[in-house]
Amino acid sequence: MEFKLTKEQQLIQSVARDYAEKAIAPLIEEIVEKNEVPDEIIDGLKDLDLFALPISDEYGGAGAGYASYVLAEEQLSRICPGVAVIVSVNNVGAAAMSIFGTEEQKKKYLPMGTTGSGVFSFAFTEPGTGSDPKQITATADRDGDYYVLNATKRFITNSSYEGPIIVFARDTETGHINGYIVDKFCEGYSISEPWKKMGVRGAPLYDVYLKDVKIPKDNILGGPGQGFWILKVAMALGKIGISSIFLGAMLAAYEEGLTYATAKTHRGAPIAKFQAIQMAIADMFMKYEAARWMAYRIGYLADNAQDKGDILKDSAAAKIFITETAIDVARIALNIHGSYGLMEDYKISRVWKDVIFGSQVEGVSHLLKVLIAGEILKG
Amino acid sequence: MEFKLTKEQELIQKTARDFADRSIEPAIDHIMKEHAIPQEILDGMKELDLFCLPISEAYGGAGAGYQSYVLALEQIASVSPGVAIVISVNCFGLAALEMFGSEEVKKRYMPGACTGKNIMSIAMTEPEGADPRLVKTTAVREGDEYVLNGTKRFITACGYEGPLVIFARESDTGQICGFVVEKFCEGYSISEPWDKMGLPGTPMYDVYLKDVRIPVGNMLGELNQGFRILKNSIALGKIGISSIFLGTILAAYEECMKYAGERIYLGKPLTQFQYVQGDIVDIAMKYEAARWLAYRLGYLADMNEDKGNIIKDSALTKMFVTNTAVEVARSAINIHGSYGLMENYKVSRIWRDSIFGPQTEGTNALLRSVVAMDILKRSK
Ligand SMILES: Cc1cc2nc3c(=O)[nH]c(=O)nc-3n(C[C@H](O)[C@H](O)[C@H](O)COP(=O)(O)OP(=O)(O)OC[C@H]3O[C@@H](n4cnc5c(N)ncnc54)[C@H](O)[C@@H]3O)c2cc1C
Ligand SMILES: Cc1cc2nc3c(=O)[nH]c(=O)nc-3n(C[C@H](O)[C@H](O)[C@H](O)COP(=O)(O)OP(=O)(O)OC[C@H]3O[C@@H](n4cnc5c(N)ncnc54)[C@H](O)[C@@H]3O)c2cc1C
Repeated sequence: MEFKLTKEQQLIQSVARDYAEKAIAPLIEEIVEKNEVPDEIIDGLKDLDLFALPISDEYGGAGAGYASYVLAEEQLSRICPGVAVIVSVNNVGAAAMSIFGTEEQKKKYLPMGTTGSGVFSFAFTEPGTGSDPKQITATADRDGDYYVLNATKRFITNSSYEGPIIVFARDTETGHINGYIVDKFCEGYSISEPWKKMGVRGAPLYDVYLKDVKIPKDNILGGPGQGFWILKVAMALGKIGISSIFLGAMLAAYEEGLTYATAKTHRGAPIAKFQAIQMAIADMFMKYEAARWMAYRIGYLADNAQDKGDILKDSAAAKIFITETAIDVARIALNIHGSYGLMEDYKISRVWKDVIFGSQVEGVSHLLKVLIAGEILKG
Repeated sequence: MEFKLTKEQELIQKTARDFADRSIEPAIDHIMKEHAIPQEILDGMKELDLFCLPISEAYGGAGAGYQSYVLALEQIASVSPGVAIVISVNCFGLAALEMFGSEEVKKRYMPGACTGKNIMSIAMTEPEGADPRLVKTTAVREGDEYVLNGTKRFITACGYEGPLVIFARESDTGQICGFVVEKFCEGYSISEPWDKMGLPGTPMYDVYLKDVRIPVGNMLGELNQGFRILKNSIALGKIGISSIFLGTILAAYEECMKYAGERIYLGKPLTQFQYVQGDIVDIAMKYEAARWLAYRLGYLADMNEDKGNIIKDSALTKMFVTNTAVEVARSAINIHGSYGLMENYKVSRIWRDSIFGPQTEGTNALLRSVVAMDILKRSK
């Protein structure tokens, strides 16, 4: 066992932290207000190789692995979870393609999400379900050398950016669920008005409509019938992103709570002198430490797993623990702020709106528990 | 970062578990009834080097480090936290000697407690409380000797022969220092055992020292070093407690998996019900969180010569693991329904044992203040 960051990991962590503080933090009001991240931030992340850390350098990624990815996402999210969500979904799509794509697909599409001008999307959720692949209603009709796709996909991140979107749909001939690669904004692709979401601002969500979208028959990811496997891998990796992001939100909450406790005075002394406040500080820190090592560990596990689907149980357990703990910690930090914490002048009010997203995305906590139980009981 | 056990660590973990399953488990009823650990269990563990894992080989220890120590204690405690407590107190005492004892003290006392018949004790707590500032026990210098007088409360393993590290106020400096006393020497006596409700196997007594004379060389460290010894000791004890209550969580998890698989309710096993699945997953998840904090603490202890550097980490780990053990025990009882309240079921024992964690080695309330003070000092 070795609970220490390598030099490279420390470097990546500090590059991400610096970038977040210097380039993202000054724009945060604007990001929150418009629910949009300025393009220069995406470009900046790409320049620093922070946009596709775990993707192989052969295709423009940083080839730095998932342990580094967790560290960087934590730091980005500490300042702006929205930016970190954009990065995370990009990496889920890109990783699915790295793992399951043909050489041709990878050469064509991966650079868009690593160094080029696109961002990956990954579209699973539909109005009817966000949890159960069996209920997918999107269809792919084989038509000679093409598939014709029809779908409504809900809550899709990055769907307003150019680049590839991996769409899960049912092959009407075989009944299989497959992932299909579509170029966003091709003919037949359109998106709704953005959803008015209360937190994680900067990463807007849209519904995506595919109306008779025609793609070459080779734009299927992996072999036919591999859709479930791809979903399992993507779920495992997606949870690494979400875990890191809400670890970052937790860190932000902790720091805000601590800063307020030392700055706010009562009768001439900081409120941190009260034991009740000290307990709150210690609890936040303790919870952060527990969450932190769970998150770092799933990065490590992903780096060492042949089949990333194998870490699903661990990444799901970490995801539940971290996202629920982020809510606990934000609650404590808000408490330290008294009524000021409810005012938008204080960052903790924003963190409060953000933290509740963790437990609702990438598998709702209690559903994930059912899934992990299945894995545990299998032995 | 590397979240993987070495081959040696895996071996030690397995050795500890095998011993616990084969030799301790069959004796559990005896341990509960007699409130004593059969001698052959103590001997067996000594033979396997499980009594002195983190202590260096030069003085009879296993030289296996604190990570292995955490792993072994966890496994033993999953079968009997009472047995594990004796090991942890012994290692705690040995480590204090190793770090601060003179060469002579180490040679005289350590081998017996590593592999011989002796077991060490540590005595800090007094009737007034466990805070070192409250120590009233005195060590008065008289020529080449110290004369000790005082009462120590809740002392583990003080009914066994062997050395006792006792914290007392040194007469010349007024500081709290550690002194080595041989149990059952002249002037040493113990009370009736306390009737404690859990952790069977390790009776606790009050220790009375009345004009106990020891050579000056039996003081640990130099004069004025008392504070350093204290800081190291505070961290050391918490490694043991964290590992032990991690074992409690593990035991609760294993019991629930077994019970939920076997118990048929409305025609299907409990594992088929989502609410039971949710409870089991919560336990598994909390175990993971607690586990890596505890293993990390072992790692930090191996990396830090001066254990005083890891006080904050040891305190937060101890708080987290012991609080979690209580939560997990609660949901383990829940899964067992009313059967969980019956002594035929191990979870009834886990329930009673788990509550010892937050109350020992510094109450968790106190530790929160230790952690907070450290954070606030750094954030200035
Ligand atoms: C910020 C954000 C970004 C997102 N980005 C994307 C994206 O890029 N791509 C994408 O595809 N989706 C995305 N989503 C959607 C998200 O992944 C889903 O909304 C989420 O997985 C939950 O699905 P649902 O809301 O449809 O809930 P449902 O699946 O309808 O579930 C409803 C409730 O029923 C419970 N439930 C369902 N099945 C079971 C069961 N078998 N046992 C017990 N309980 C059950 C669930 O836990 C939940 O409480 C995003 C969402 C957000 C908020
Ligand atoms: C199984 C077992 C084995 C033990 N073995 C040993 C042993 O071998 N050697 C040994 O020396 N001791 C041993 N002890 C004693 C144990 O370490 C102490 O009892 C424990 O540290 C708590 O001390 P106390 O009971 O005196 O509580 P006190 O210190 O008197 O605390 C009483 C209450 O005040 C609170 N409190 C105290 N200080 C503060 C503060 N600054 N701020 C806020 N709240 C505070 C505490 O949280 C607690 O709620 C053992 C105890 C048990 C149960």
